[in-house]
Amino acid sequence: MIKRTVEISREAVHLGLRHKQLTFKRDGEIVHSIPCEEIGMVVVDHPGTTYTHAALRHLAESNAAVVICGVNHLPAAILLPIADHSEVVWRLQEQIAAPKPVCKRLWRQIVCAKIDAQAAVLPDSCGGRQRLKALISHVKSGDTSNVEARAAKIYWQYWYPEVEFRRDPDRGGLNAQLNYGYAVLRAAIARAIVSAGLTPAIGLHHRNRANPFCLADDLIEPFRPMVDERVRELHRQGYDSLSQECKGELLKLLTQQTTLGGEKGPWMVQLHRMLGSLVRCLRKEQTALEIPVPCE
Amino acid sequence: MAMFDLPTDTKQARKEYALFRKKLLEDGFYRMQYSIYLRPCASKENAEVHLRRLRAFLPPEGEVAVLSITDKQYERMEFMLGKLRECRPGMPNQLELF
Repeated sequence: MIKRTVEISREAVHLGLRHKQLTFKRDGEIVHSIPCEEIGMVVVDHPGTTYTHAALRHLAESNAAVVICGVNHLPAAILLPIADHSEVVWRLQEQIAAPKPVCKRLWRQIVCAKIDAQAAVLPDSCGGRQRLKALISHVKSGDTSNVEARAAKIYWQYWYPEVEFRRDPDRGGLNAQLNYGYAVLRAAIARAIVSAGLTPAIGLHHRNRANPFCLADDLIEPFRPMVDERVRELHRQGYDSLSQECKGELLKLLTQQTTLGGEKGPWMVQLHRMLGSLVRCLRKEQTALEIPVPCE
Repeated sequence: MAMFDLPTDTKQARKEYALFRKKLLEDGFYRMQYSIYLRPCASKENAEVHLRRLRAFLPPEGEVAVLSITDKQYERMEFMLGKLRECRPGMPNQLELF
């Protein structure tokens, strides 16, 4: 079942727990409550929010991720449950022992999927689409020739030609919207990784960095264009800052319909299938990673 | 929609009643009227999960009746008599903004 997403940014609330439900208290009165087991993600972006220990604990026990936003309204930290999985140790060992060739092959597949998704986002008429499609066949195992970067250069050039745009993670406007979208997907992926019994810190390609979310950063790549497309669409509709409505629209990406192996479903649900397939790949029971693709 | 009628004549029965009510609340039910509790479920499968749970914590005495109604049927329900104490809650959204 698709889990619910809660975003808190309009008014401060006190998050508590009562009868295993997350309660929203304002001025000492409970204004709303949601069963914790139905929650997938809580995004908190109001500096006045307060929590009880029990609320955070029960959210963790219900496998929900809590995302804490910083002063710039972008997710600053993710509170993830310690995997409540029966095979955690085995999975961890498999993940650490994953042979290099397997990781490199998977990374190649992820890069190909990303470029393919990027091509799908570009307008039909522009030449960028063909150029990207042509690049896909050049991706080698482990992407040793860094085709990913070449594709990115072409992609951003054609992405939104009507607007002067430079991808810069520290800028506001479109960049802030993109960052927010990516961060939300990253948190959802991290949650799926943990619930599959894997550790987000050990990546396939992103390695040896001071980054606790290497694996999430690997797996997010094919989905970034999904954010890009939505942000461009929202910007055309007149959303030019990271308002609450805009954030709400971006959070809806989690429920975007995708297909995987002929089956349709919300992205958030398909993610778990993808992680299941990753586990089989690491065990060498399967060679190709199953990656959900947005429905047309 | 769970409707129940539980005995409260002995101390033990009252305890069981209180426990049953607590479990209903913990499972996400809220009180619509005395002894009538409601829980919105996203799908038929989801409703079955809660039905199964309810069956597991049924008190030994008394009667519990459960009725599954669809969104449409709930919408058509007419609330009569007096003024409404509060707005009746609708179906929960997948995304909630606060």
